[in-house]
Amino acid sequence: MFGLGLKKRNKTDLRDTPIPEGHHLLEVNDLKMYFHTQDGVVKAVNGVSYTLDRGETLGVVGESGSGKSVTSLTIMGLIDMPPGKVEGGDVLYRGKSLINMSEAELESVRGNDIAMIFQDPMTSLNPVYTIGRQLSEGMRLHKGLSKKEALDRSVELLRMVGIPNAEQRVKEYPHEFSGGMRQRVMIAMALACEPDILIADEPTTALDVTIQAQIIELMQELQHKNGNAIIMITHDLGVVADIADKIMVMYAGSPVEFGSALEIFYEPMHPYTWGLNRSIPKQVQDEKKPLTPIKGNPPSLVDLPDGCPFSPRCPYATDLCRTQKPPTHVTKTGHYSKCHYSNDEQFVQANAPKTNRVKPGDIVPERGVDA
Amino acid sequence: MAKYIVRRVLQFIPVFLGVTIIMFLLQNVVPGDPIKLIAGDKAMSPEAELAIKADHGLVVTDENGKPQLDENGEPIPTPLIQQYFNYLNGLLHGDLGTSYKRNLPVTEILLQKYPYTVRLALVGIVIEAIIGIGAGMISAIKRYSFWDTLVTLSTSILVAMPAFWLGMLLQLFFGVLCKNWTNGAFYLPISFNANGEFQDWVYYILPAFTLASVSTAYTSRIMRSQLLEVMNQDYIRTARAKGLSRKAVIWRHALKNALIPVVTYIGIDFGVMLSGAILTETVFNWPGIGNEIYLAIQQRDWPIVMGGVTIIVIVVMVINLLVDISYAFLDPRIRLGASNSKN
Repeated sequence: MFGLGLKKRNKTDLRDTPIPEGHHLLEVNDLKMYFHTQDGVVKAVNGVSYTLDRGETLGVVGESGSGKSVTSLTIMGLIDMPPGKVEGGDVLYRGKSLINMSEAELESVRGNDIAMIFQDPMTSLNPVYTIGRQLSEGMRLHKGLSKKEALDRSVELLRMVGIPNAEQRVKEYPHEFSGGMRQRVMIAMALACEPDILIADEPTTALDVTIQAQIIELMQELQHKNGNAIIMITHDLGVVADIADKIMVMYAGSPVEFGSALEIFYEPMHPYTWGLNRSIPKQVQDEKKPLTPIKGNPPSLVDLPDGCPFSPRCPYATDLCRTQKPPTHVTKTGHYSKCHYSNDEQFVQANAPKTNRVKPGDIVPERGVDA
Repeated sequence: MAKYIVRRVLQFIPVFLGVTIIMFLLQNVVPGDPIKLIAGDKAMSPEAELAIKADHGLVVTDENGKPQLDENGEPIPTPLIQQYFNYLNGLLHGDLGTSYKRNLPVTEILLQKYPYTVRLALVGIVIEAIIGIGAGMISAIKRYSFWDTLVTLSTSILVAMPAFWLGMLLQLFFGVLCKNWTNGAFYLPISFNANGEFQDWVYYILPAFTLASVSTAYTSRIMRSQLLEVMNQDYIRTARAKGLSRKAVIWRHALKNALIPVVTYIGIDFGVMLSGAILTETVFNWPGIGNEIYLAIQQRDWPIVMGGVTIIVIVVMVINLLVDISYAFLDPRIRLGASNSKN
């Protein structure tokens, strides 16, 4: 009964197939995921596009309910359909559509070619099985390892993510691990089959600040070693600032700005990105000075505003914003923003926040003042 | 673990004393003189009555078993507390007294009846586990389907149906209305062979189903809600993200977690079944301990009632302990708690 479904699938792994000419490792094209509920159609993901290559890190930033997680769950094929439905667009992994794949094919991609780490390590591990067994499962399934081989490899993986006394720890249960340790286990589990893409859905949100940096560093270190791509989903621009190559800022189910990390931090074009930027606490900020929040709440995804979805909360909104969908303004480097006024350089210059982050290549005055 | 078990066994003592003392007091409050009932309609001579009372330790006797008389020439009733201690003393020697009515040792009567109750309970618990867990799983996996509705509806009906009524309906249906079709296979008066043994397991089906009906319905409901709850847990999503199929996720990850409360319920219910279902056994005229206790209460045959209750209390306590221990094997978090208490 417990042997069900753990036979090695005798298909070749997709990640061993070369990426076809003109394609990227992962391409998301105008992806739309709607949920059909009693209250109406929830447009959770409404036209998301990006590309990702090996070794790259994409940061996906936005508030709760902006569609960050749903986008990645859609890529993984982990959305229950119904109520969910892909209303348009496609996701191509090595040129092959994940949306049109059969469930059996998807199962051989999940955890094998594309793996995922979830937000809450306290609840993401099964309480009734040992860590070793949960780590082994994916390797036995995808690589056809024996119980013994998989357990040996589990010990190696635990050592790799920095868990001391790994031989002993594989035999223990999740409740015997702390939160940070469990997230390390989750990372080990996700990397067990050496995936091409690691999706991390707010991997540090539930952790202590001191542990957060360790987890991020660990993910970067392992990326360096394995060359996998990372999609880092977070609502914290600060987390993404240090590790992302590209950043996508999402609002109400669709991207409002996309660009390299440098562009998003030093030349942001969208008022929403500015707002997110202003709400990062500055280390040298006067402690009496309040943060600058973005006023209001995100709109209902059932009933989106007619014009720009951010217009009800945007301090610069005009009648044009409230009535017409903004066009996508793209720069030469591929940096884009969905705002009616992004092409107005004076407007952007005048209102974009000045970051106190040090641009790479700048001369750093002294540590502690900036950074 | 050992220390935990010892502590639990020590807890048996106050529970056991409490239940038996209450039973002991109740039998002295209930109207009707059991000794007079023995003679039925006929009058009994005072000497004979006194001799019977002396035999059962209800009056104070001398060393030769002769009743002692007070200054008025009246027999002296044994104080209740003395009677209770006599009962406890007898229990320690494996003696539960003698039936008033049948003049046989209570242990002999109960040992003869109890196997029937145990067998009925075993069949009942198998029905409960298989049908209850199975129906609950189908209902959860095929949520909102025809099967789910069917299970929900039938469990509602079963829960609302008193066992004795269900028993009678089943008898009527299988034994009377479908007599020709079933050929009396499911329900006819129980037949015994020459050794007093049951002839056929077929006779167990209807009583066991009646006995298990309500708890089967509850089991399936607990199973359904537990499985649905577990399927929403984060670790189920983790398992899916690993690439396990939906079926493998249910069997490997969801089931064990969902079963923990179900096993507890079934285990405790097994204890209840082993304590003899008075209604079911009476309706089916089942020669088990429940039926025996029911008859004994009618006849005020207190030694049998006391003896029956004694066995039931011990069985229920032991089963509950076993359930708690099994719980620890299913859920590693509890295992740790138990070993912590050792330190």
